[in-house]
Amino acid sequence: MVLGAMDHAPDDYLVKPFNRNALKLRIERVLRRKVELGGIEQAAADRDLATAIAHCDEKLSAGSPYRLAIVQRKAELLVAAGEYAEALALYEQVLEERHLRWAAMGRGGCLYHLGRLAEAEAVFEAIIKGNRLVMEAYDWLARVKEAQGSGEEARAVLAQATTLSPRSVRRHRELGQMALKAGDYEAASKAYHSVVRLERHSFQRSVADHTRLAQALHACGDDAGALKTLREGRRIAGAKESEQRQAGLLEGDVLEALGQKEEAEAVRNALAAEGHASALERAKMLFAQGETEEGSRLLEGLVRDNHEDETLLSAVRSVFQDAGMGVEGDAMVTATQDELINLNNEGVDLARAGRVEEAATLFRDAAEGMPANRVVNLNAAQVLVIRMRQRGVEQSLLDEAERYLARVASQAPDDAKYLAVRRKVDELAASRRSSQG
Amino acid sequence: MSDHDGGPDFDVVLASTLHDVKNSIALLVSAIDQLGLRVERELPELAPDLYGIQAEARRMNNELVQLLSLYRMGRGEFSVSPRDVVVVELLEEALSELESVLRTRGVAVEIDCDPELSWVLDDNLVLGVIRNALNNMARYARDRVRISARTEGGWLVIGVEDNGAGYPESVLRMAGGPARDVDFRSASTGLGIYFAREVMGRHSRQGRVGRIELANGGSLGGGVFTLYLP
Repeated sequence: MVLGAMDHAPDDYLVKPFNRNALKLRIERVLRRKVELGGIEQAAADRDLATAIAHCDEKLSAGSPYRLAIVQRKAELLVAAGEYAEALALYEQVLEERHLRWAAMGRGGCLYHLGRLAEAEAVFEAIIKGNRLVMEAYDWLARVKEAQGSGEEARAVLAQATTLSPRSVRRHRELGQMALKAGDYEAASKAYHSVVRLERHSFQRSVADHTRLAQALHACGDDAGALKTLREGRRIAGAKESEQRQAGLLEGDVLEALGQKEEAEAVRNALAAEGHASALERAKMLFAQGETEEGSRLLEGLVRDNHEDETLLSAVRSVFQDAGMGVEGDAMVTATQDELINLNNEGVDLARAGRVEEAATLFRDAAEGMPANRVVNLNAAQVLVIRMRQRGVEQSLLDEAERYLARVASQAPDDAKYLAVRRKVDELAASRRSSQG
Repeated sequence: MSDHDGGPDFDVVLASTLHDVKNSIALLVSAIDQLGLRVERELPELAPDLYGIQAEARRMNNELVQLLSLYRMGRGEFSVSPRDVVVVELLEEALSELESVLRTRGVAVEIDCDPELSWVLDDNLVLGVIRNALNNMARYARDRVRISARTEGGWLVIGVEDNGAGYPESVLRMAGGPARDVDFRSASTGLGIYFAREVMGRHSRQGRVGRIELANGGSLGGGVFTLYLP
């Protein structure tokens, strides 16, 4: 428990038992110290590092009962300002006189920033050898090891630290992130399990942590566990929309892996609808604030991505109407729709006329500009199918077609047009395999 | 640390039990603080006895704190964290918890320290050492305790003195020699002295290491407990 509290770097602490008077005296002591360092801290809080450092120098030359504390603060400010060499010199000057842990820690940090990794490693290892409960040293050591390219050792260091101080959510999370990045899903799910368990009864529950845990479980093949975790996460109130969205996307994949195709589609449709609803809300707000241009741009993007979705298009029109811009709204929707219809027609005509290369270029550019537009992406895949049927199958073109199809699948995996193009691409891929075999 | 398969790690069981007992005693000490305010008002003649009981409870608490610190030292889980300390504030804080027992026993306290004097030391640990010495003196002082601090040739010298009968010969012998000479059987203060020497030994500056000295006499003619901090 004490370790957990010390992770929050309190200004001071008292050992039990203490009476009212002792507490009062200690608070006065802390306050006096704070007042003495007040000018420095004010400048630091204003992010004016140069002034803060200058205040330190003034205090030091004028003489202060808190000389060492000021030296310590100055070194920290130098680090914050990126003056690692100067900070290092200061730390080493302190260490020449007394062996102080904060100075050793600061020295190690500077060595790390200066790229002197072997020296930094030795510093943090020595600190841990002196006291194996200095948790900050483990965090640093892991950072050093990762910079040295020893990701596995870095994770081992953090794992050791989480055993010694099992209540630090932050450290479990860091370990989980590292493990996810390295593809060690067993370790990642273990770490995120701890995060989620520790958060359960706290005010800082996070959807993102649940999603990471589910991601690791999904990768380990535990889709039932992943689904349970995701649903638990999505029940957390007040989460960020982007986090809810990520959880929803993963839930679609997990349901699909569990063979629950219909549920997966329902989740994806709901997500799309939520996405549209929140974009419409945001546009309303922008209009209300007079940010007409930005609101229009947002709605135009929505129309571009969904130019065949009549329900959405009429919702877009009414947002313009409510803002007293009904005419502009109708004009924008019609123009954008026409533009897209013309574009698709032009591409299809080119392909029919045998100008497949030109059609491919046209759809390729359009798909890059509108990655969420289903029609454009389907056409881009379709034109590649035509090209390969005429001039032979190429792996790079197959891959490109897959990319366009994946964009459509994430929105509408059961759409009939999608399934038709999907089948053609699969046939081409199969023919390529058999011709090679 | 267990030598037996499957059995509990006795060191850990012992340490966590000590920790628990220590916290119980801490509650006792705090409860007597509350009770003391009422007793002083309503039954003042009982106050010295009550605070005497509290001083004993505090002694138990101190000893357990020291024991646990030694345990942590043995496991490589112990650090000193020296920082700038305004010395007079430290002395006042050391006295604050003993104020009641000293006052009701009729012991006069004087502090002699330059209010500007500041030094680098681990105040929580040094506080423990000073309090331990003071707690003893609260029991043995006739009617005066003096606590002083000054600098001397690059050392901070903190003295705690009383006008009691002084330390017995066996205790005086323990303070000076090497740590292993501390004889825990011969006197109840063995642990306190051992702990004080461990704490002082972890305060060093440019090769100079802190120490304690015990003597009899001094300015009040009783026990003299002196800390030397580099």
